Amino acid sequence: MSVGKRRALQQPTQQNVTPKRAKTPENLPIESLLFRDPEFLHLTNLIESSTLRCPLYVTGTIGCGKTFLLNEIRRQSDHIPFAFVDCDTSPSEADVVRRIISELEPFYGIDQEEELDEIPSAKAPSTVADVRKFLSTQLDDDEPLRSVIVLDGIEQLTKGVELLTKLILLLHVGTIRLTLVLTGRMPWRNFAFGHPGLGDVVEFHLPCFSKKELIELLLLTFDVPVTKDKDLIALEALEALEAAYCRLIVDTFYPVTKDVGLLRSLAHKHLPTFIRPIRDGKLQPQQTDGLFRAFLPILAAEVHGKPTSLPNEKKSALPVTAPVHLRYVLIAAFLCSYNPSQADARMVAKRHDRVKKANQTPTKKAKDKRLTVHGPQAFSFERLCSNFLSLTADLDVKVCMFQLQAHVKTLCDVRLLARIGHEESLDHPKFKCVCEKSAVQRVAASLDLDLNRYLIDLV
Amino acid sequence: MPPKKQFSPDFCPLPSIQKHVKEVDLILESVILNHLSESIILCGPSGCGKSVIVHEALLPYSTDKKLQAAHQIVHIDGATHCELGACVDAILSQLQPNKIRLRPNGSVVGTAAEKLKELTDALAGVSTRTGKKAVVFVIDQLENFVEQKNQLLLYSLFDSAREQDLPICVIGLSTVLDVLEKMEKRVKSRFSQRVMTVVGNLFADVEDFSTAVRFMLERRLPDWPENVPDIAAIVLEPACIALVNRLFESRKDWQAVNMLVEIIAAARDPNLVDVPEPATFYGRVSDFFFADPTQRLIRDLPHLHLTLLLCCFEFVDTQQEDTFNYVMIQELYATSTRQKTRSVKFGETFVRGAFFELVDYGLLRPTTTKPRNEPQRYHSLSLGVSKYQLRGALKESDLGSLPTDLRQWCEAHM
Repeated sequence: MSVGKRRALQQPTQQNVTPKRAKTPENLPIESLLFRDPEFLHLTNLIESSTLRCPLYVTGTIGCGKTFLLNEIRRQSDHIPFAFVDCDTSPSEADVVRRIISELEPFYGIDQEEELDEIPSAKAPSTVADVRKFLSTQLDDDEPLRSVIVLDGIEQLTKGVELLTKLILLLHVGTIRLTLVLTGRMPWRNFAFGHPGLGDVVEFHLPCFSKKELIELLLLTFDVPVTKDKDLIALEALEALEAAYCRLIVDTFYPVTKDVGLLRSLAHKHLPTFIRPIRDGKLQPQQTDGLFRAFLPILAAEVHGKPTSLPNEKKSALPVTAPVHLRYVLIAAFLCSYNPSQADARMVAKRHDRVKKANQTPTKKAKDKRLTVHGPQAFSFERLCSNFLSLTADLDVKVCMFQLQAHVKTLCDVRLLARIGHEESLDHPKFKCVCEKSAVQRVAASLDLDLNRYLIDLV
Repeated sequence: MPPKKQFSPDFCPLPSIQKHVKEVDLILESVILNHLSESIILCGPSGCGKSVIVHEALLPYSTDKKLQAAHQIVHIDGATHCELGACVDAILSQLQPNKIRLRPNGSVVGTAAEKLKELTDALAGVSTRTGKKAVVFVIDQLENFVEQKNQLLLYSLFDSAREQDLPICVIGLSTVLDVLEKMEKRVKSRFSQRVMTVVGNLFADVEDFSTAVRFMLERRLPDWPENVPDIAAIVLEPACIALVNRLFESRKDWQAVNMLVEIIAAARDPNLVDVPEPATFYGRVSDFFFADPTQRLIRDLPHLHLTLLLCCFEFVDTQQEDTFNYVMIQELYATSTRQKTRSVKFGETFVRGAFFELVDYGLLRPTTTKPRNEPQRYHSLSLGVSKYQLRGALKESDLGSLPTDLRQWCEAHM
């Protein structure tokens, strides 16, 4: 089916543009199957094959459409007993087994409640042996039905290897006709490494969409909320605006993600901001340059992870609410962990503002680079105190030692500092700062300090 | 007189398989016709044709009405009957379906010991009730019974055959090659020590392999359209011959034949009358066997993910450390992108998400021992993703978009 034809068939409803990814086939738009015709056909043929005796493993990157493709096959192969288990919501063996049996029962004309009424003492199915029993009991007809079990996201299974080993063994039971389809993100060899019981699979790699395909998908599934303004905007201009917006979103986020769902949610998140000048009557849809000029700073803020300058957005209040001394202790601890002890005097104690980049020889810089990259180094309590006192030398309010000890304990309790060695050793305790640099940078910024100026690597 | 061998249409008449069938047939003949006690184990990986061999050997005895009365076949599967009680239930329900007393849940009444006694009696009863009637046990997944405590079932079967001189044939099918070594001494001494390894000489040469592929294709596609070249011609395509030869060199088992046939059958469109271009078609089929999934995954990674993966490799290489945590890689990434003025610097949310997606893809593995009060550390296993795979994947990537120091490292080391 051509792109244009599918687009014409599409009903532009708001349901189609739900930002959150839903896994049920009813909630997903059909147009995601675009550009997947060969894969759809090949996979359907494999699943419907009556002689396939090994599991089928569908793999691909996040958001490439594995779940959707299988759901679509399920929808179109409605004559086949199909059990679709999302391992995210059913991680244990008992959950998986219950889900399989409850999904297969309607195909065999069994009403679960009736079945339980007939055998009051019957135990709830919980093991793979129950699945085998269930499938074996459905062999009365001359041509027994071939059941399909899909386990979506097998990495989420607890004790997944044991469960899959048992399920794969069912494929070799002569009396059962079963196709087992598994989906996962990692290559099968990586998943099954060290588990010979899992054996061979037909590994079906679903390639990710190209940039052009992503733009098309975004464009087709994109129900433009400016429909209310259709009377104001010419249709052609609207379509051109849509195309430009989708291209901008995909071009911006393509280096970060190829996930169709995520791109769709990002597009819908930013759309109100993008068309705000049109709604306010400041710009016309044809003035795409002006729209982009207004929109690009916000998009850049999203890409760089900086807080946006939207008026209604509140900034995080966490660094401000923490006591000042506590914040200084955290910064001092971070500097202890990422600076060599010999550099404390130069970097923290005094004249740190006078250190110039030219003073650093290349050899020295290369040697020191290890510290920042290598992760936090252990430091003593005395060194922490020294750095803390240097940092707070200019402050009017002085702090007592017991307060400093209390702050260190607080930071240890909230896991921003880690204590090295035994808890019982009170003498010469050592610590590591396990807080991330970005968090410490935020804290430093709240105290009007530039953290990078105190780090020897970055001078 | 033993029945004349007639193979079923499902049987691929390869000389090596015929040889195996004849061997099993001789054993069955000595048990069913000469009332001796025998046992054999067929070893080989899953899908190599063990079950087909047993099925073909049993076929003449099952189809001949006279011989049908002279033997009874009992199938047990270690995958589902590995518990002693359930297994004896399955045997009893096949041996004497009218005599056993069942519980509401379908199991036989009695303890395990009582059931074993009942089994021994039942075996004796079958043989003496109507003269010497042979019982053929086909035990799939034999290794599961060997792992049982005391190996009671196997011991009971072999012991009954020996002590009571019953015509019992035990045919075990196992994917574990050294299953005999795992047997207890008392079980092993009662076993006939006959082990047949199926996989070793299944296909003598590539001709055998090609015959098997053609046979299976014809069986798999009975509705092959008449107005297109027949399967024999398809198999003789140079692209197909090249694929079969390559597969024969790497995998010489029956499961490879099965998988190849299934993939070829599924790759064609039943609604299309025209046969696709052979080179393209077999190229796609070939990808299933020979394309490296890890390389394909790396090729599909977004730019940020690839950069972080390279950061991990560079870290291990330059810092001489085996493990790293997220903060270290994030810092290295920040340092690299700082040097390249034109490169896009992504926010921490994206970088963090990308790093943990690499963990999701299995390209980075968390270390098993987590240091106390420290962030989780990771390592890149060479069996998960090696430098060679990374190099292969990078061939098609644009290194110019990488940060300068990463690009230089790649050019030097990849």
